[in-house]
Amino acid sequence: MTSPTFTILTILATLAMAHAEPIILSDHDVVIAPHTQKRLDFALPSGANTDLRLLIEARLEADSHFGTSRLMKLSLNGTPLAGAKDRTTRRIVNKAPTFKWENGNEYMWTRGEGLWDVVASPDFESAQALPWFGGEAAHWYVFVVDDLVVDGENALVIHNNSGKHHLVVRNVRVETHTAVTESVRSVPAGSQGGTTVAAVSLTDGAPLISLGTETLPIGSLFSYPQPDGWNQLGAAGTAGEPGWSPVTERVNDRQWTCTATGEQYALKRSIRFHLARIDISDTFTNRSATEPVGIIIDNFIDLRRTPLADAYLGGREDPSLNEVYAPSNPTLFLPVSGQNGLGLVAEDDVYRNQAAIYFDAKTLRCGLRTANFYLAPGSTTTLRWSIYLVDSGDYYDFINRVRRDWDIHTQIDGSYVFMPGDRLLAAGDKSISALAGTGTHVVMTSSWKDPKTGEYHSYFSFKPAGVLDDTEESAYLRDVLKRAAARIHKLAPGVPVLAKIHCYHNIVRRQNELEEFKDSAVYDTTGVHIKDSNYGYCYYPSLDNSYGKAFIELIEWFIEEVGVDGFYWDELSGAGVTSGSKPTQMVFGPFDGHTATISPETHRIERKAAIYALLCDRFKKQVIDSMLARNLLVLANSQPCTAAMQRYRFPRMVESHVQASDSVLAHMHAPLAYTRASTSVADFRYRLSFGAIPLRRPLGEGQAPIDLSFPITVQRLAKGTIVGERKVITSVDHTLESWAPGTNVRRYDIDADGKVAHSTLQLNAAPFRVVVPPDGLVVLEQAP
Amino acid sequence: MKRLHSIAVLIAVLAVSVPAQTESATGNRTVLSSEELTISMSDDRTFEFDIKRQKDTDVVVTIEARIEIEKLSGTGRILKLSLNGQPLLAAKDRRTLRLLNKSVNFRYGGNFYQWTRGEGLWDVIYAPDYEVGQRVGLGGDQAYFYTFEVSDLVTAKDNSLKIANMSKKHHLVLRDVHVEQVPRTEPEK
Repeated sequence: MTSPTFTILTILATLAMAHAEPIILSDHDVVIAPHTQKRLDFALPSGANTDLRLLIEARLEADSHFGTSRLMKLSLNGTPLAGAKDRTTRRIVNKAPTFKWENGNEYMWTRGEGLWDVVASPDFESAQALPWFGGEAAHWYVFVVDDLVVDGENALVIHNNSGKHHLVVRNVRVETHTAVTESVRSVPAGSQGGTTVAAVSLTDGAPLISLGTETLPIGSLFSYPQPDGWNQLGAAGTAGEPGWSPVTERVNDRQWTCTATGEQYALKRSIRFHLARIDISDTFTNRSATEPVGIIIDNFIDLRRTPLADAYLGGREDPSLNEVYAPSNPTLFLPVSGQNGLGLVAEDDVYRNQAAIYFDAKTLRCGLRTANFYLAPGSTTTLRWSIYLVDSGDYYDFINRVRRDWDIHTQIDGSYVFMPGDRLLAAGDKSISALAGTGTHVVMTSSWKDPKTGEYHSYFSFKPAGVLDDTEESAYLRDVLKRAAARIHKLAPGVPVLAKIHCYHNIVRRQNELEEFKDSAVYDTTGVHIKDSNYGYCYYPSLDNSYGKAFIELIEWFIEEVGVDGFYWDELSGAGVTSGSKPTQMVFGPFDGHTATISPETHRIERKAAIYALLCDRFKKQVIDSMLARNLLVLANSQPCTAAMQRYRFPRMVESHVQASDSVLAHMHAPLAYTRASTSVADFRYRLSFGAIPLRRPLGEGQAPIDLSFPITVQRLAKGTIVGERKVITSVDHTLESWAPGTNVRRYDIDADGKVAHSTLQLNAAPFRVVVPPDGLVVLEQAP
Repeated sequence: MKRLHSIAVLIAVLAVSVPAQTESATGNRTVLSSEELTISMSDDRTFEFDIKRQKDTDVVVTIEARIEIEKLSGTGRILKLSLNGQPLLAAKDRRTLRLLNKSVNFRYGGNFYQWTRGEGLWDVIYAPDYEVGQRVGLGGDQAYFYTFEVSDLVTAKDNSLKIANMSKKHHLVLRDVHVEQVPRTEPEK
């Protein structure tokens, strides 16, 4: 096997801020005839060369937009103005290296010697509207020239190399900047050097990214409490309320800050450059000691200069939804020019739980927007987000990078049977005993059959009672749960039994719930106690409130009286979060300290609110820690939505039995998908196409491919393939790169009907190509 | 594998020369199903049609559907649609809508919902008829209809519209299924 070749993205970051009056060389049209040149002299005061930008606006005089011509030759103090200072440092900072013309071909603005293509146009405006030349940047050439100028006299020479066309230039000027040019290069294994694919310049407090042939400015909008009141940064400009005057300053080579102050709040933005990632922290401080302020915050990519029409919102490629709420996968990814990608990630708890991930075809923006950010009087809160520059247009390359940066390691020990207690009691002995040694777990779900009426109930539904009610029905239910757990333990020793719980739907006691749990109720926008049509009244648990205490009482009952080995915690992140639907799922009554509704018209706070994930983290952490300390197992439905929950390594799943594509919500933790009990190979392949593994099996023997999928410690995800430390599951032909030569491998070929063919092999030095049976699967696992 | 119901397969040719059947101004409607047609649980129907494209027109498919039940009970995601093997999504890409007759989002009982989250899977109203859902904020007279612009998905011959009922508990009822060519308009964003 050869060593893998990684092409790691090189960032070339040029950070600059104008801070002095420009030196104007020419502010009017200068026509340079064919085969002639114009010399423009300028003087620089001593010490002015901190960082200098030379700006030129140029066009080829023409009646129509017939394209470009390489006719402009530039030199400064005798040195040709090339596209880069050296192999790692760009000199031109406002253009991508290439542009795509209407014929679909890609052309370069320059191939060196100081010779530049210039857009043919009758004026300086009309070509900006064309989709090929970079919009507003079509006629502009901006060079970093700090290394070429001298104190005193300098000379710029603009030569027209054309034999027949006139060259027109204007707005030729030199600007002084406080700046640093940053370049980070990673030498790829087995190649001659990385490819510079991204250039980042810092403009008005936000990055402007040139990636491949595309220019993608980043902008930010922050509301202030006035109708249509917006403070702006970056691509949005720097306009705002009176006093909003952003100042960008360098901290060091890799960190910059931007500060701006409005009447109600101050913003301090920190921008840190990493290899192929830019971290942005926006710290908001409420300037009032008495009044809270609500801020609608929108960090976006400006798409007006690009034709991009594909995006992954929270992992969803499907364009049916252009706005999603996905706190468990708070990402936006844009494939760019087929070769590259640009990603945004909401990193902190508040932003990821409030953000709508959107693509707006009308404004041509896509980004992460919270309409619910609350800042208490005198308080400070930091929202963190990051920009990923990816040398691939594959969403999974992006998500694997984020998984690595988030240090996500999930080990899944085995599959899961989901079955109600009474059905576990009715199942045949053999179907249960067959589970022993398969690595599976049994989840006792909530439904049970009333022996008097024959009706099926659920301890989540209204009718019968909570698990701990003092009623005949509840006593029967408790007996069913105890006997079912005991039966599994007896017939299938070693198979863990997990009890199903839910901490937002009341499953504890119903007899007097409105009174007993009054302090724990959650309300909708109209002030009505939220009542799910299937599951009853909703509450929130805390360490101090009545429902939290009752919920812990139920946990202890399951441990002490039923003898469960762990818990299946349904919708751990919040009631209804499993669907990934919009809008942000807020409740009213309790307050999480960061969330409010804000009028889209006045930009003023309407009501304080709460998001379950932000509201209940402390409670859940204490209960989970208590479970894990007692060696209890946990499987959760819904994926982590906070950093605290993200740190736990126990498996979590998403419901995919109705909407398989919801599997993408599992990409930032354990990629597990709940399905109907009998998962066909086709069902399995379909979930795998969304980067997830089904985890549910029925009772009985031999459930390929589910049984063969576990245990697995997931390393990388791909469309159709999950790569684990010692196991690969794939529905698409796959080249195995990461296992060493000499590794012994068990191979399972699974055909479309689930029939398994088993073989063994030893890897040699050549890359191992896995070819998947038609409509089937292959599972590879390392053998001792 | 689900069965293909050959009895329900209709072959239709869309052309200027069939004005008698049409209701639209350009005279290009072909009805694939005009009477109530029940698709049982976990079953599907496939409609086949040919189409003779006319200049400056778009091809539009319309489906009217409900889930059979005794009283209005919200919606369920049980309708799966595909045309020539491609799932019928709400949009062609992030900038171009495919679903023409309603917004993807709706509000019902104080909560926000979506008619689809992709994959060609669509919510359908649980209702005993085609009227009651129009009166409860589910989209008015478009509540039961799904209209898609499909010019990019159709070919001249042997087009195949597959309508599947993904429910294991309820029957899906179709009433109006038709294809028509309408004057081309700029796609809405």
